Amino acid sequence: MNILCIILAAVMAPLFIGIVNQTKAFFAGRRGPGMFRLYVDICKLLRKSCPRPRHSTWLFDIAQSASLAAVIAATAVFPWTGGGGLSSFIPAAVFFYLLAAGRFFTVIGALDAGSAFEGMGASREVQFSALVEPIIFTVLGFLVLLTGDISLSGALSGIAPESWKANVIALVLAFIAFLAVFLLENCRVPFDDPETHLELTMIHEAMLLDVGGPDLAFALYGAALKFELLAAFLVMMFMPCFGQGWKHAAVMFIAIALLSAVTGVVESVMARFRFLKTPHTLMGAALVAALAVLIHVCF
Amino acid sequence: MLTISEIAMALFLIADLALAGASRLKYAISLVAVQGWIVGTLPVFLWDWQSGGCPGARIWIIALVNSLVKGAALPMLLNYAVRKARTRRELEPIVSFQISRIVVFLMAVGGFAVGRLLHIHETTASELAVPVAFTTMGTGCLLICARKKAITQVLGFLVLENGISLFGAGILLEYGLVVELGILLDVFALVFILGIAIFQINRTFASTDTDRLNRLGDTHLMHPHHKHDHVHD
Amino acid sequence: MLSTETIFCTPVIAVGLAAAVHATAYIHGEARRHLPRFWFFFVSTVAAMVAVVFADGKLPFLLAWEAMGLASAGLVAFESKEKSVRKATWIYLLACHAGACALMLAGVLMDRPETAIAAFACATIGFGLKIGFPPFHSWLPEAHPAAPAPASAMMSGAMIPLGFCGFIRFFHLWSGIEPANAAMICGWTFLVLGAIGSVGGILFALPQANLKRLLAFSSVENMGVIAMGLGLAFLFAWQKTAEPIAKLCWGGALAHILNHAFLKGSLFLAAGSVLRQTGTLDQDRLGGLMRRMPFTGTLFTVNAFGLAGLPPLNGFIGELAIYIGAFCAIRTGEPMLVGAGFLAALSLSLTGGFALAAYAKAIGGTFLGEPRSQAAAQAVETPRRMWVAQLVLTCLSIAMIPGTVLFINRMTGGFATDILTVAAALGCAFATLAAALLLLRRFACPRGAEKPRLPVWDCGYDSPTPRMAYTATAFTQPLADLFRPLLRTRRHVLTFKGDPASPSDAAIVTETDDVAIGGLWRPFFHKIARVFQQAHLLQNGSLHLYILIILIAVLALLVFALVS
Repeated sequence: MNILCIILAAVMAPLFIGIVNQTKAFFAGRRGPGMFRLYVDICKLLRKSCPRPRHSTWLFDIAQSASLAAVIAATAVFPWTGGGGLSSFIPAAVFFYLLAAGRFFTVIGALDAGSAFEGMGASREVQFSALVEPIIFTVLGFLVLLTGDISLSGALSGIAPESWKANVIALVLAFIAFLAVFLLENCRVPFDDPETHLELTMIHEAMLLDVGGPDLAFALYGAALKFELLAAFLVMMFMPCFGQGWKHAAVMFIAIALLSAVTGVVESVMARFRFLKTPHTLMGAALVAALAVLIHVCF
Repeated sequence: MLTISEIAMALFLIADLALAGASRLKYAISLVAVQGWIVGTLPVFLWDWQSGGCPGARIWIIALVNSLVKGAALPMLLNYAVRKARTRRELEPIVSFQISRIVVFLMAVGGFAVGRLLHIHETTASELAVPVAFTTMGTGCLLICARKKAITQVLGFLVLENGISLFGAGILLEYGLVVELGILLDVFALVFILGIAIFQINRTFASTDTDRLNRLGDTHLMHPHHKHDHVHD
Repeated sequence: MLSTETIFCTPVIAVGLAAAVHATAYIHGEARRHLPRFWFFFVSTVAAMVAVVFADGKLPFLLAWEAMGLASAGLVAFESKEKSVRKATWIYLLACHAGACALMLAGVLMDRPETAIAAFACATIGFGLKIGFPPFHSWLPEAHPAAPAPASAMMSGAMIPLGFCGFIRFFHLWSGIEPANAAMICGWTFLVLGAIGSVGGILFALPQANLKRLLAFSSVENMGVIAMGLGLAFLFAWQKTAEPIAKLCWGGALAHILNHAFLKGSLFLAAGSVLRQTGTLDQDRLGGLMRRMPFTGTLFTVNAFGLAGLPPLNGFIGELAIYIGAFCAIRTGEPMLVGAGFLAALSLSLTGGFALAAYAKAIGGTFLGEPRSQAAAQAVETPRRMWVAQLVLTCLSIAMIPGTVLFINRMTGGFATDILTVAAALGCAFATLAAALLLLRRFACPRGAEKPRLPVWDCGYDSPTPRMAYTATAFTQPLADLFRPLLRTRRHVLTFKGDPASPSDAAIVTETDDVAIGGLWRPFFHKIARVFQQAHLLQNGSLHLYILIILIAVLALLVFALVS
């Protein structure tokens, strides 16, 4: 059943991006491209050929595949059913290190193209990913402190409903902090604007300028999967433990869908922050996460 | 145990952090207003509804006055002063926003440490009240000391006052509020006077930068680097 | 049980052998005349390092330690015609002797209870000078770029960690203090110095344009990671109930010594190959070497990936053990351990983020994109034995993927082995998955359709030149700017001369010096110099004064003898 849930998660990932886009279209008064647009795009791209930059090497060729593989591996260890499987073994740090490995390949691939724009995108990517690390690990430390479990599934779902109520303030603070991570890592407003796709304001997508065909399909699918994963992390971290199995998975997917809709609303009503202010916002988020730890320790 | 008051305290803490990092005057003023509303309505939430029954008229009146003055009247006055004084709508920091935020966080750490040392958990209505109150007072002091504009000093006083009333409301519900009303009156007067003063100073000197106001004293010989600043009539 | 000697001796032998093979080709042309000198110092350094590992007792240890410093100084000074090399040698010798001096003091002081703390401080300075604890790391970024690459590979991979070997011995002999207190002091010192060293080291590695300087700063970082692991182990050892966790951290740190030795050794050798083939180590002038030096480039990429601590390579598993230790510390809920755990976890995470940036920069700037200078464009692959030396170390690294798990398993007797095994297996699954996706990609493309090579997207600029591509310095500029108050990067903007309507020559050069040298050591030594200038009053060349001094001394001795 665990494996079934993982497959389900992998299949559903592009749907959530569709939900975000439909929500945005609804707010803008458009019809929108439809929930399943990304599936169509991916299928279309998979049938095309891979163009390569003139001076690229084998690193460019493997970059998107390796990057997607890392995200899929992270999906495979996530406790979609609330526990069991690999997730009860590995510490949560492994999960984020897998995502980091994927990022490394994307960055290397971008640098291999040798274009100024991709260099810029890669530079921003490593900058912000380095800055969100402390937030992620403060939140992780907080979860370990809260649940007394260092494994991924234990840290995420070990909060009983009774103790949930007592810790809700600290949890809310941790949620806010990780929300910043979620929005930044998925290049969403207010940190980045996916509407300006492939433009110079972009953090992530500027790295994909010279990627096409199946590689681009991998990259898009990887981004969708990452969106789903971090949303799932956010949801599972915040919600109290409500049993395991299908029920858990179902609640998770509904919650992720809701979060996607909320993301769409946020994108519709907010403007992007000034780019240079992003590190400051991230520092604020890190301090909020530290406040969560503080409140939990002192209570 | 989770109550609304504790959520309010957490909001208060975030507002403190946000205030330390706020770079726009309008934003800072609305943050102070939010704090004012929270502090004003807090007595109602802290009231022990189960054993105390419905609170008396005094609590209601105090809550109403408090929140109206702090959440509506004073912020409106400040906004008015900003508009009239036509100052640049940005806070000019002496200590950078980043460091200010870290300082506020450290104050929170210190506040929690002090809150633990004081052992007044039993008497307080909310466990978070004391540390949050300390943090807020510290934030107020920081705003007073580490920002250039005169209007920020007013803002700082308001935040300081919010901290004090939080302390009062959190610890001694009944008597605290009376004292608290007295302080509120003081601050109200202070803000009023400062608000008018800023407006007047601005009309006279075209600037409310405290760096330049320093020149009004006879100490300007000690600040040779201010020689170039012209005080316009 | 693996003995400490084995653990510390393995990198010496492995990296030493690989470096020797590499050196046979690295030293070429004119420099071959000085080959005997090189081999003399090289072999004595290896011998001295082995002697340090196996020395029995204080005096032999100190002798071996001093010999190691002197012999390796000879290696650093190999290209002594250049002024910068002479300066680096001077700094290195100074660090060696200051360290040895502090160690002698520590040896004298360590037995008595009243001087136990002073002995510990001396040992921290003495070994810290070799390990590169902040602020004693200043010699590393000077000596490593100056030394020939095989020598710096050996020094960075095998010699620096010997400081930990010495520290462990010191700790065993440190009798003047209660074991619990000793562990506490050691633990916190290592943890704090390690945290500062790891984050600070990688932060300073980021903006370095010189590849070997970047690697040297990254050594400071890795030593910091090891120190944090050992520090956590000490803190847990103090708690009797947490013995397996202590052993896990201990094993993780020691495994990281091995991993770092193989990975960093190979990276330094690759840097040497780049220098030999292009004549420069400036990453802003390199680029495009992956197509010209495929073996060197590929091996560099693999090793850099491992050293960034990413799965599935060995660096990740060693660091993971330390992570588990940190989270276990948080789990205990004891305020002190929670603090220690958060400090370690946060430093490790920041280090991880910055390391990713730094190594991506090193790979991208040196090997990827298009060549930015004539020298890089004309580079060719090195002689085979140079990259074979790297390959040997890389194979050792790959063997260390299961090796680290087995090693830690042996250390802890089974605790957390399942976690590490799963993590290692997950890494392999990730690699397999990547391979599977590559296959899918191959078959997804329609058969027969040649993968076209196109010019990169140029945003409307006609014929972009390689100079327009992002340079290595530009790559890390946003992060470096963010930490400018700390890094104190100096910028020299060379504006264009002549007609401003057609701006032709404009350049910006940034330099990031070690902040400890400018902020601490230079003023410190200037002050010392000023104090000793007073001594010139005594040595002014006049015979009368000298006789007077002798007379006074004799008289003082007489008085002293009479009084006592």
